[in-house]
Amino acid sequence: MQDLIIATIPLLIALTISCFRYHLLEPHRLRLFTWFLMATFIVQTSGYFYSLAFKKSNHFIFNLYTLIEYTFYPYIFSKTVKAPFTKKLIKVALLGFVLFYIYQIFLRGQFFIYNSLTSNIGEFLTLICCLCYFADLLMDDELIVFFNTPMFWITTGIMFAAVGDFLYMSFFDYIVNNNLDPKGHIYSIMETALSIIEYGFFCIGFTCKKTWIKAN
Amino acid sequence: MDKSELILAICLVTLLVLLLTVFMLFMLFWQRAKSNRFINERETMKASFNEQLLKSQLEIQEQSFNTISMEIHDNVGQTLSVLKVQLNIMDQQDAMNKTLLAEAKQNVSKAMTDLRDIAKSLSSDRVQLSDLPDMVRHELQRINQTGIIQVSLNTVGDEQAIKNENKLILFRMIQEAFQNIIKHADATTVTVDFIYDTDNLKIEITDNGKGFDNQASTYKQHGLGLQNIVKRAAIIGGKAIVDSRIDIGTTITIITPYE
Repeated sequence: MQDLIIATIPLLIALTISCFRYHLLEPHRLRLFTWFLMATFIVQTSGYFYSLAFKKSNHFIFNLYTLIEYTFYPYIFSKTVKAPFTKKLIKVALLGFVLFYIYQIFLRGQFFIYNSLTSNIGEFLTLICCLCYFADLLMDDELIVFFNTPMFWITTGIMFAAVGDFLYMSFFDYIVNNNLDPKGHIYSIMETALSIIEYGFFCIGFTCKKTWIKAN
Repeated sequence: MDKSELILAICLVTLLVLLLTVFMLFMLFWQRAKSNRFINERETMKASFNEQLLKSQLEIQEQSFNTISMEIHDNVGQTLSVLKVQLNIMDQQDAMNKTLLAEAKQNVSKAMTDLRDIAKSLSSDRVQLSDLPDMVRHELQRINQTGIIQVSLNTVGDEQAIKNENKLILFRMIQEAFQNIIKHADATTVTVDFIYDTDNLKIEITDNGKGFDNQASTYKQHGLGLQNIVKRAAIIGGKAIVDSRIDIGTTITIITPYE
């Protein structure tokens, strides 16, 4: 319970800020983050309480969340990047991910067992999207002030979370099978730290000054 | 590697990758700041170019108005006055004076030609349609007519097109150079050379006037016209070099890229 609370506090703070600044979030697609954070919060708490109440595996909830999380990020990036080729590339990769997810989760019947491979592929896709966005920012011929660009901070948060998670998730099955992190303490510490970093950056993004809109 | 060491390795590598991410973001910040500086400089230069362009346009306009006013007063006005006198004489005479009539007709034609020339020089398309040597030639004709200075123009190499905006600024620079020569140089001859190189157009304006000391403070303090020429040359991506020798004369060299 303590872990859940600590890991959820940054998420709740980010969600609260995004709710308060909902109408100030520009461009409008940034408002989707409020709904996404809400969904994340519901998944985190329901996953915890489901296993606590029914004494059953909550893996299917997180399998479903994998689809939500790793389709949401690429969708946002496909709308944010300016280069038409990159846009197309992200859309194609997103479609590929959805097909891979359907195959892994539904066709191979792994709905009730947490599928770390799908999550890993999703994370990798997100990382690529983040890099594409940064490349886009770097190449842009207009004046860009990062301190006034919410998406820059949000992307930074997403990237830190994806990078930090990636290696552990790559070895997830191996770690579980060999009982290398028996009580999940390392994973818990890692997730808490990454959650603080990720949602901390989200908070900066949501509270960015409005001046950049005028500049645009 | 021991199985238990694997988790430690994962943590360490993750930490390393996170540090690399921080470094990458730092580099991104640094590069972006550099790009922003460059964009700002470019915008400032663009604004300065536009300002100079507008200033040049206004100055050329003012110069044209002065010239036209002089032309109307000295040529058309005089011709029409003579014509009026001739018509008065004809009015007072009983018989038709054929010679006087022919002279009057000639004066009407002259006035019409002068007016046509003025109308031509008033047209705003003139600068855009004519090329730079033609514009300068027209200006030289006007100066030659004054009889104070003899001016000649030479062109070397194949003529190449210059952007209209740059053409306007170049023309104004040449005008400025002529004004300086007329006002301060005490010169009797001026030569203008248009040299078309592979990448640049070189314009050399040489006079045989009294010249001045390049290093003297008077040039720095009072040579506003010359400083304007140098400043404008930089704005269109070129340069202007002023080389003057006392009692020998002055050469202003303007070098500008075609694009």
